[in-house]
Amino acid sequence: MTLLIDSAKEMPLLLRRNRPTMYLIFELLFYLGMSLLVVGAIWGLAAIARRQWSTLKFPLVLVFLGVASIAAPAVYTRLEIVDLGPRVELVGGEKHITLTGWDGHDYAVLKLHPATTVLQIANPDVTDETLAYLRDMANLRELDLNDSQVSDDGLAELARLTGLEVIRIRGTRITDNGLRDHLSRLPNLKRLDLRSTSVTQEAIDDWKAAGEGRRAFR
Amino acid sequence: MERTSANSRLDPKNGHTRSHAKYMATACQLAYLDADQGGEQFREQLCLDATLVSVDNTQAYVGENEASILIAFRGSQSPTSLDGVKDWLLTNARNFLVIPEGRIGTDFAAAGVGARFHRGFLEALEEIWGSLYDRVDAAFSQQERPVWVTGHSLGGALALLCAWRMHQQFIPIHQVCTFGAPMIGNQAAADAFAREFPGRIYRYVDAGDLVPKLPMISLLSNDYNHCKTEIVVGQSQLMTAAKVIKGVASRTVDGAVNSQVTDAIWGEIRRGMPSHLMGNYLSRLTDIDA
Repeated sequence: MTLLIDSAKEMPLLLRRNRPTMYLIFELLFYLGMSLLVVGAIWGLAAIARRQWSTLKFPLVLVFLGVASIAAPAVYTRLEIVDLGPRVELVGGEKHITLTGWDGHDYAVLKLHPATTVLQIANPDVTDETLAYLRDMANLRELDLNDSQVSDDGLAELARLTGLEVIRIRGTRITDNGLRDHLSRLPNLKRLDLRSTSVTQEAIDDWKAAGEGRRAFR
Repeated sequence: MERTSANSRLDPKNGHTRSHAKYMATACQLAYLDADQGGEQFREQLCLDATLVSVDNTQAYVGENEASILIAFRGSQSPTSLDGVKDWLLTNARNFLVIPEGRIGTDFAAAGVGARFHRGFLEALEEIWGSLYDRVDAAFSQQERPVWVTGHSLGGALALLCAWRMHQQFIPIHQVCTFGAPMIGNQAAADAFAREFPGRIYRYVDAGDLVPKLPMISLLSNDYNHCKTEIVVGQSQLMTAAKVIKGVASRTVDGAVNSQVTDAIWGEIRRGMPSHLMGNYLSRLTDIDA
């Protein structure tokens, strides 16, 4: 079961929530288009038969409208914006939220979900400030911040969430200081993705030695 | 089954060469053997200590030696036919493109909320995942080595999905090599794989093999897309898969796949089965031998 959060979308709400209505409209457009096409064609042929060339433009307009009406649904579905809204799933009693790759901008929506266990926000517009919205997530266990703008200061914010076991911070600006000063304070942290960061192998080895069963991607 | 002349070790420092391809192609062919014969042949031909992981309809061999860990997925039940997957690849291809539910859903949603994957392949992976992960994790924890993943046909699709999931669970994957594999998801999914495995995915496609053109929703603009990097073999053939698809497409109205088109394509797949067999891929790789 997917719980949807409303975020501002350009598509009219009726169409977004009600696909059967959309298909009904498509069907009506088809019949309308066919009617216009037939009427226009008959009128046009009659005008040609009577050699009334000057009046030909009216049936041509009808034919054009008919074709446009028939083609409109196809064009619309090709250009339709796929809803890339947030994904909130209940998995085995846990709340998993994924905003990676979404087309929204307001992460304040995360404040509505303090019970989140797994959060994936690997987006380039996630900053240290965004992490403030995670403050109430006491049960947060896995956090994906790959390719975001999080820095060592942001890691200080995360150090309060002691339930964290998995953090992905590939391709971010964090340094050894972030690992040593902040992430080392998380007792349950077992998995770190540190690819494409400036964190050194030495700092990683120190971190791994300080706990059991720790693994890092480098 | 003749012994290949490939090196009996996978060299992780050498990028991807013909010798890597032959090694993994051999593994894909051996993956169709049953447990006893398979274990023996893996040791003899590839110097790997291999065991079969089999759950429901999904099987994979996990082989290891001191240099590497190799996961080789078996393709469809029988190595010579694709019956039973027509639904997945053609008839219902559109309905199978999803973001899945459950823990596997979270793992794949990390690719982005716009990414869609093939539900059938995901379910097949989910069947075997618990046992497979435990087996690979145990081997990796005991000694950290490069992990290679390979598969033929449907096994190739599973290999790609498995590699992604292994990364989500922090088992680093060195390289993925597939043979005649169908597509696994849409363009957003393919892009996510490109970011996660840059230059580490190699897909071998025989020019006459239709399976890599599937799953198919429309002959003209398919929602499914392939991951890079594609390596085409057997290009000198007269009747290529691309030509076959064009032939079928020219007889349709707008490229839509209805039941007649489905039957036409399935007939072509049956006819083109020789290009799809693992034996064909192996011989193509062995023929052009320096």
